[in-house]
Amino acid sequence: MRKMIGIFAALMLALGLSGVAFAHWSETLYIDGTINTGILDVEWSEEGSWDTDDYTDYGQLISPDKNVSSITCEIDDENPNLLHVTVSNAYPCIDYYNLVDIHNTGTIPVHVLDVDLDNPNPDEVQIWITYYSDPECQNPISPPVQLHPCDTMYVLIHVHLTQEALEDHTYTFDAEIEAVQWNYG
Amino acid sequence: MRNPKLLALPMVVMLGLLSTGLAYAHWSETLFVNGQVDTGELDWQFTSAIIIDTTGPDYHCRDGFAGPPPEYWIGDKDVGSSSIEVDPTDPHIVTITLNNVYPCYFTMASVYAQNTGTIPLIIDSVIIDGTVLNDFPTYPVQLDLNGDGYDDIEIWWKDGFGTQLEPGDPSPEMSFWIHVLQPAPQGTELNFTIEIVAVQWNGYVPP
Repeated sequence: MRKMIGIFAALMLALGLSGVAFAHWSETLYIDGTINTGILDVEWSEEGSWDTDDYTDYGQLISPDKNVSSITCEIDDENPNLLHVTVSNAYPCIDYYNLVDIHNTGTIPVHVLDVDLDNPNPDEVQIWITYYSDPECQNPISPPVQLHPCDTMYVLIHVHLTQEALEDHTYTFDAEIEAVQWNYG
Repeated sequence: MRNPKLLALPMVVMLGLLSTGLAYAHWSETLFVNGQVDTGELDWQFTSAIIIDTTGPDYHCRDGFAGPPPEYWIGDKDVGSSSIEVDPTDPHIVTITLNNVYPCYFTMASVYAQNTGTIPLIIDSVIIDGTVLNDFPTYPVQLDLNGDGYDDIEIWWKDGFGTQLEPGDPSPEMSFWIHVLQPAPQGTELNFTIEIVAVQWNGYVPP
């Protein structure tokens, strides 16, 4: 009998507590929010490659026959953010150039930060990576470079072998260029 | 008395008297009360809404809307934008849309309502995706809108609790801040709902 009384009391208490919610009228207004976030995306494409093994330092043509080495660049098939730069049959004193552009394909501005270059053989292979605002490489610009959506900047990769470079050898280097949202760059 | 006819005669007489005698038992007159209860209506509706950065340069702020002042500031780029409107078909709903926004983006909205019912009401609480706010000081509420375990935006409701509106009264400004956080996914539509609950004035329980 006491159990029955207890159960009844608990039931009444629960009903009383929940009844508070129904005891008064209420009216709710709603604010429905939608947030469409933007996209941060940059891509690059090749503009051209050249070298000086058939030219002197002063730009004078020596002989087309001396054009034995070359530099090429290729965007990775699986990762479009990865650029493969290859210098073939290279030899000292020749300058190899590769020009790529970086364009903002997203919907918000980005800051392109400085290059993080990893060159394990700086005595044999010299590498300079510089930024320009024009494809003629006449107007250098310093990082961070701000790119608005659809804007383009140019990156000149310059490779030079010193006299210490070994024959029939493979040198590798890595470089990273990071683009961040403009307001955190 | 053993004659059955003599027994039946008084019974028939009694039965006849009983069946007619009720009408003569007492006089009576009945009055009737016809009740009608016309209940009032608790209703309020949005009347207007405004938001910053509908055009022009964007605003930014720190995580948690932290200081020191200014808690938010205007930048030099027009990238994202905000819009707000009272639903033209249902004024109980305000729709906010933030377009092409990104981490650190800040916006601030204000809504105004009116007691369109017939009884006083009190603004009781605000519910932001399940988090109930009904007292001051308020605090920012972080929301994981895509369920990836990381908060995408934070909302800071600023004012309005406990305000009583008589029928026809306009509400004071009810404002809130929105901040897009760093884990917000790119190129995505994120949705949230804020509920503003008003109760009958005499049913309001102060926090």
